Amino acid sequence: MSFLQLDDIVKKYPGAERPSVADFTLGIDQGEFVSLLGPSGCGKTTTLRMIAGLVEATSGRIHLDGKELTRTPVHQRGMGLVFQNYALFPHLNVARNVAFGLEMRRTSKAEAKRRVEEALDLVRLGHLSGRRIKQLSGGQQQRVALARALVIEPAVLLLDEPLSNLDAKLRDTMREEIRSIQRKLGITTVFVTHDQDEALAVSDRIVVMSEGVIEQVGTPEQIYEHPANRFVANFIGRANLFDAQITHTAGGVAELDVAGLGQMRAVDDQGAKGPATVLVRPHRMQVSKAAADDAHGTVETVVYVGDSIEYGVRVGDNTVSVQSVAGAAERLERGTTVRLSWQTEDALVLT
Amino acid sequence: MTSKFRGWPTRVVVTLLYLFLLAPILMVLVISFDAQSTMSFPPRGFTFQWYERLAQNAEFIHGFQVSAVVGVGVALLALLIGVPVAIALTRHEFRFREVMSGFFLSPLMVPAIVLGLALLLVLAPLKITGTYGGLIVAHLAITVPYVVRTTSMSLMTMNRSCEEAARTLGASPWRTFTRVTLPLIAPGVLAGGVIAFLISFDEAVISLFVVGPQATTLPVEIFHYVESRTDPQIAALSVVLIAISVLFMVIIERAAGLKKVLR
Ligand SMILES: Nc1ncnc2c1ncn2[C@@H]1O[C@H](COP(=O)(O)OP(=O)(O)OP(=O)(O)O)[C@@H](O)[C@H]1O
Ligand SMILES: [Mg+2]
Repeated sequence: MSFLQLDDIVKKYPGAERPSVADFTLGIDQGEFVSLLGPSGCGKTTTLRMIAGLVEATSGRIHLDGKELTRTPVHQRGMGLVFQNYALFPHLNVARNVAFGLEMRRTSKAEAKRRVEEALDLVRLGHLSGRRIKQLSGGQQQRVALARALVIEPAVLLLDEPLSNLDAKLRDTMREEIRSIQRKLGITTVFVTHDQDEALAVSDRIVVMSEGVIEQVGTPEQIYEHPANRFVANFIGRANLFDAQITHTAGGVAELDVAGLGQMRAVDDQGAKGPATVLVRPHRMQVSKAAADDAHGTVETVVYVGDSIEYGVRVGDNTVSVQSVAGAAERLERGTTVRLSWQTEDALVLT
Repeated sequence: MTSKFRGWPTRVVVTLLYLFLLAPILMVLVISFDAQSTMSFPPRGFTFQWYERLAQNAEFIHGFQVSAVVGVGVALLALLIGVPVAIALTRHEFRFREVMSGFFLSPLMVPAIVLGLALLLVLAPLKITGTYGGLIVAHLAITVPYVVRTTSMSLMTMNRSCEEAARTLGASPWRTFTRVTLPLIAPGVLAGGVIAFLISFDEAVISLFVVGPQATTLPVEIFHYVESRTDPQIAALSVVLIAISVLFMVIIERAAGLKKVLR
């Protein structure tokens, strides 16, 4: 059993037609940084709130460090939760906000003072301890919320889209900061986000969810390079998905008959047979000029984005995205007839 | 044609409207200093005598004391009842919520005279008419709805995740209420209390049914007074009462903002 263990968690809100979270089983190790990633409404917040105890699971069990937690009331769980809207107490100043959890624990005045200072220094807000909440910027409020959650030395730090209210630049610095604080303290962290870049950048492991169920759990590399299914492949990064028929499999490589492209090869871990889907990321595709009778398709769009050129190639009814490094090959014009290809190791058969 | 130009007629109309609304009050103010011994307009002469007589009028002073005591009692009890009711109505799902909500707001829709009669019929058998207790109970019927409304308003507009944050930080439900919820809804609660006091202090119709010789409120004393006398003493008293009301309104405005409360 892992440090934080969720088993067969189901949450069905009263009156809802189907569960918001279903059969959710996940183990999180001590010190691990795990992201819950998925589209809006897939049940990320619900899952996080069940861990915090703010939402009661319909069924299933939660264990923390071997002890069952499922029916423990919120205020006895000792989880640190950072809300999307920060939820700072507007009637208390910065220091009193951070001290709140310690007051509830009846920590001595002197120790509370020391720990509040430490926590504020950790988020680099030591100089603002006397400020009112209204007088803080969004980024500063975010830091206060983080300090307030961390000061109680929670068993697990829970973050619900903590960066979504910040502008793009601040978002990047804050996410690095959160990650470095997390490493420094070695605190087990569950991070909810619908932003795949964010999840890929900071996580030890990512849990991809859709419609209340887990689609895949893995390291950022595993999720990106070996998505478990079409949903994950589409959701993480950009993807070309081809319908294909497997004709022969040997040594982890499948020979395929790909619609519109003919005979191709792709990596096949599972030894699948029959109809399959092949995933190739746009930057792993190659495109080259070809005579019309020999071509797979026609260049439909050309978008120059600085370091690379993105082509949209029409193949039958579908558009295939190809990203090539600018300057590495001759630039193709719209309307050019082309052939598409890929290296065997760059294509993956999905089931 | 600028908006400034178009603004002129509006301003004139608004000014006239305010003058019209405030005219009676201004009239009362003027009359209270009038040397004539019956209330009439225009005034002749200037005097403080009506204020001096007011200060010696035992009935008015007693009535004022009764009204003040009843008002404070009503305000406190209305809060004690109204705040928990507001919390139940806004925060909890239960079977007869709509019915309860209607029940607590319904006195606002019944004419005061009907309510007064009804209260008399209920309170008389209990033998509490003509007592402080009877007055307080009668006034609670019309003031609790206001407390429920102002408190509900604050509860609905406050950030609920603050309560959840307090819970995750280790606060029990009760401590969450006292340390987070109550401070955040304080403006609505305070406003409800002040409004309850003012309504009780001002209430005449219902009080007429339930007052007695020992406990007669100021509005009822005024009522009796003007039945037999017409000197400007009553105008002087009105000015004092207006001053007190304004003071309370200033308190509400400072605490919560009038707009928020009266919405
Ligand atoms: N209190 C509630 N009562 C009823 N249904 C709810 C409640 N909270 C959430 N839901 C439903 O449960 C599902 C999952 O909601 P949840 O908030 O967990 O999604 P999410 O993944 O956090 O989405 P987002 O990225 O938009 O925050 C949604 O369909 C939502 O409508
Ligand atoms: Mg959410």
